[in-house]
Amino acid sequence: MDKEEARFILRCFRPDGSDAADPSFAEALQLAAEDRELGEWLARERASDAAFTESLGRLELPTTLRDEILTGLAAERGDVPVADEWDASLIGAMAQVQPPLELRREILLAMNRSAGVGDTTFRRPSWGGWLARFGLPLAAAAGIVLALMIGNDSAKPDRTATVDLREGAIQPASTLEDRLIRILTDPDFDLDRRGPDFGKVPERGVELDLKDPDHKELFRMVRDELGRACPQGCLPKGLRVVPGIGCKEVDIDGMKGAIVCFSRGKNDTVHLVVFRRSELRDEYPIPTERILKQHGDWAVAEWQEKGRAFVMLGNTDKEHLGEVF
Amino acid sequence: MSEFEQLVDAHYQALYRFALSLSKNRETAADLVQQAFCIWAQKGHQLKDRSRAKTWLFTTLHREFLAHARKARRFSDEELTEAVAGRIEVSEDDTDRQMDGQRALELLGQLDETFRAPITLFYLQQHSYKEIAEILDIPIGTVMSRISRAKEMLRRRMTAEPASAPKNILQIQPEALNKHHG
Repeated sequence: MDKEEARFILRCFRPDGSDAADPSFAEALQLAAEDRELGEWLARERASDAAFTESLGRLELPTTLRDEILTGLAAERGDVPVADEWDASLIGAMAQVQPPLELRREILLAMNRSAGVGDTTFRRPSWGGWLARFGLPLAAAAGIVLALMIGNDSAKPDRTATVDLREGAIQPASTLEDRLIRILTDPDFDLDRRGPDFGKVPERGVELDLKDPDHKELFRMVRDELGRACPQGCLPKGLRVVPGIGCKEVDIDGMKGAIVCFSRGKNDTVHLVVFRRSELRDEYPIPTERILKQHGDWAVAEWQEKGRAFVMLGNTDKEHLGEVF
Repeated sequence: MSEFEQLVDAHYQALYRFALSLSKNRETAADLVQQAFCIWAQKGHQLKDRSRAKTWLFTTLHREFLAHARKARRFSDEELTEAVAGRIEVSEDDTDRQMDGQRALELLGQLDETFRAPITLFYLQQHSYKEIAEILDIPIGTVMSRISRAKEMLRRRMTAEPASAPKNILQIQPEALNKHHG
């Protein structure tokens, strides 16, 4: 090895001596120890490198860097981040955001409009035609859905099957059938399960209060436990001959009623909701004369009889629901 | 102290200095360090020899920097200069006649990227030249050569430029962005 080769190798020799034990430097170091010129060169080189290293070490680091790294690592591990006061105030503020009035109805109307346009001979147009025909209502629906998602994330389906009426919240002017359908379409509304402790409305989930195919038992409960006696004569003929499923108390803005569910066949459930006429609220009028209508995917019948107000719902068309009468 | 905290405390400062030297931007440097540790959190368990964690982190950071630089190169020259050119604000030390961190970084920043990475790693003293070769994924001989040449360039600049040169702002050399590393 000559001096130039030794210099080439020793330029990579770390100034703090970390490489002293590295055998790849041994020969060059030996030569530097034996050759005065090379040794002096090495001393100058190490001093110069040490000074530069020290300078680099004086570089200031961001004061928050360490904490930011550890927070990021905690997030990677899935640790629950601790929300500080600022986070909490934002979370609270977001929870106060309410969807616009009539939002749900508008969404359904827009979707129905979009789905209902055209006849059986309608041929799928080009993208331009499709957008021209469906674009606006779908865009409106999408925008409304997005607003609903932003505003409604904090208002998850209520497990008590009552409408969540937070104090001071602006109530959307949805109809009674809207409210009932929301309960019936709650993912946790389970016709196969019975709730634990009957009588505790706030704690009860959306399970049935009583599960029994026997009408007598169902209406006994409705009368005795739920206080909404429903004379047998009020039951539409078509429901008298089909098995029951169960019943459950409901509370729509303080208007207490009872849902009684019947099975007309596979995937053909009819829900009969009974209220006391005296307890009806003005915002939820129920006609005295029976009406039958389509409300999106749901058929709804409403009427009053013998001091009771009835709402009957089925996830079907109104003609099929009307057959129970 | 958790294992993560120990690892962060052991290496984040050197990683940041390395990242800052590469990226010349404080925010990018912090991001690169953060990314390196996050990738460790995801994949570090695959490393059987924990004593190699330091090398692993530096290697990962360098790769992340290259990916970042490649992405930045897709922009126009103007945008590239804007996106990648960094202004490093470093604390001044007017009274200290020794070279401060700012000056050191400034000098490193004047080097081409191909030299800047290995010489910075050398001066951080965290790795042997063999480890530097592994981190940068280049042959050992190339590392030695680049360290040698980089030192020469630094020495020339240190002796050629007066100490009164502007110190506050370090800007990337646009032409350096067009050269490939490795």
